[in-house]
Amino acid sequence: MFSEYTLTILIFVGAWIIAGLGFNIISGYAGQFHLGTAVYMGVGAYTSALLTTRFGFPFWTALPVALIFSAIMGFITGLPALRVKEDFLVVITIGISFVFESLLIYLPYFGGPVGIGGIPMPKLFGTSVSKEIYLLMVFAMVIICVALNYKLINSWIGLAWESIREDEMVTSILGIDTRKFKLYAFIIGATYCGCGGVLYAHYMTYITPYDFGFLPSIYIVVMVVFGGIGTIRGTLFGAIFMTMMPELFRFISEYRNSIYGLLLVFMMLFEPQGILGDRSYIWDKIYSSWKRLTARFRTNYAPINR
Amino acid sequence: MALDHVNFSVERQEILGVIGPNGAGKTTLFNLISGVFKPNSGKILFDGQNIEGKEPNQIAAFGIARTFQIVRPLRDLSVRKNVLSALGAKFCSKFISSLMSFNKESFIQEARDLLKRVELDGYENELAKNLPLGLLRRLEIARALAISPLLVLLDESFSGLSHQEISSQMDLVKRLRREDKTVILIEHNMEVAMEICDRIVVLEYGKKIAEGLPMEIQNDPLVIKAYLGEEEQIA
Repeated sequence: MFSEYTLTILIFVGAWIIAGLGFNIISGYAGQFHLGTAVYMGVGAYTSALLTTRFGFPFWTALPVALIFSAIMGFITGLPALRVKEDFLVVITIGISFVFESLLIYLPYFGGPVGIGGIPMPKLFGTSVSKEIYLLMVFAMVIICVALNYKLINSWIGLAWESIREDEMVTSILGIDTRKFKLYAFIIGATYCGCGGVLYAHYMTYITPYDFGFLPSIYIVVMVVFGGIGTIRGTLFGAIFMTMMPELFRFISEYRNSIYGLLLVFMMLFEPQGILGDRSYIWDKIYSSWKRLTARFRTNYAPINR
Repeated sequence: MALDHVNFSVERQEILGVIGPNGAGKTTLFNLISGVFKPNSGKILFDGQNIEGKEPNQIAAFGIARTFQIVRPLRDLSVRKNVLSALGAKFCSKFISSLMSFNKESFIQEARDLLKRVELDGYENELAKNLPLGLLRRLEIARALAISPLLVLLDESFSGLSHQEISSQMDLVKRLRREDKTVILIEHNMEVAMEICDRIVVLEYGKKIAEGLPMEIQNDPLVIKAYLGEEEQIA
């Protein structure tokens, strides 16, 4: 039905959506600005790759183990982040990114700079799935991840995160253990990213340390910031847009880094909320049009009493 | 030293005022009680329990709430979410309960009731950052009340308010006492402090220089001297 090329792009979009959602949880909701989320993708990818290639685990067993390891990595990297504020937190996440990449390159256990190849596709009913089925799997994972994300943001934990982002001291005064909730953000966000990493690894069938270094972390940041940080729709839009644009336009692919850099600068100057972020120019237009169009289907409330 | 051997106590359902010239250490006192600062020495007892050195969220669990001299709303969140954050604190002690949705009718209604108490109903969908100061002060109080406190620390919650706003704010504070709450308030506005407080403690340069009924404080030479140095008149 789809060409292999289209399948590949769509699968990548799925993986990046999930990773983007993870970053959005840590940095968008909880406000802990993280420039090293590709590390968690790497943990997920490498764990699953090692388990399936060296230890003969089936994909379906390797996946949850990889997610657990990503969660643990989120916890470990979240701990030092609890002790520092804002600007210094960003520096730590950058440091973590480089340390991680170096470990993967220099420790022979992880395959060195060449990485790990021969990662098998998952098996269903005894046979390896086709790429179309894999796309279906990815799609299902995206649905699950988005649904879970909605649940989180509408629950007390999501509210605690946003509260921490707005004013951590006040949140503490209100009775919320902010350290605990920051850790939750790191752990859950890292698990999301790890999931994206696993889906990426088993489709690519080979991974290298450079797939999960500083630059990929920045790509995730650009995606979500461009789309609308702090929102699910922004993350989805950003992941889809930024994954497809280099494929559709050769020009963008060739000058990717410069264009992404310029995009970030441009967004910060004119629309820091992101294209579809809350109260962005475009989103306001979409939202008010929607309200107008559906107004006839809703009861009219009295105007706010001032 | 920010505070030097400051020693006083508050009775239940009392409204205690803490006054003093700038730099006296009043806000530092609140920061110590609410856990933002940890004391180098000394004890803070709440209902017989030591709370000095504890984290702010632990102190909130004891039933102590505070507002800030310079308002600190959760700016990009709606007024409703500002109050819900405080209501949610009790669900945030366990991971499992924190996964519960806050969009339930009961929680929204509880938030609305709190907003009504401070006369902020009608603003629930507004973003906190769009509210004027007077309303933000009320929001701070709504947020403080949301944690069902036994003791409320009000840090200059009357400053910057119009005459009418001061009047309704005073009613609010008196209502707190009727609801079995204890209030300590820091105030620069002498009229307010004299009218509303049962007792007053005066700080200067980190030391307590006077304590007593408003009438006594008004006529205390030490207090007058401390304020004359700041060219402030006691009404």
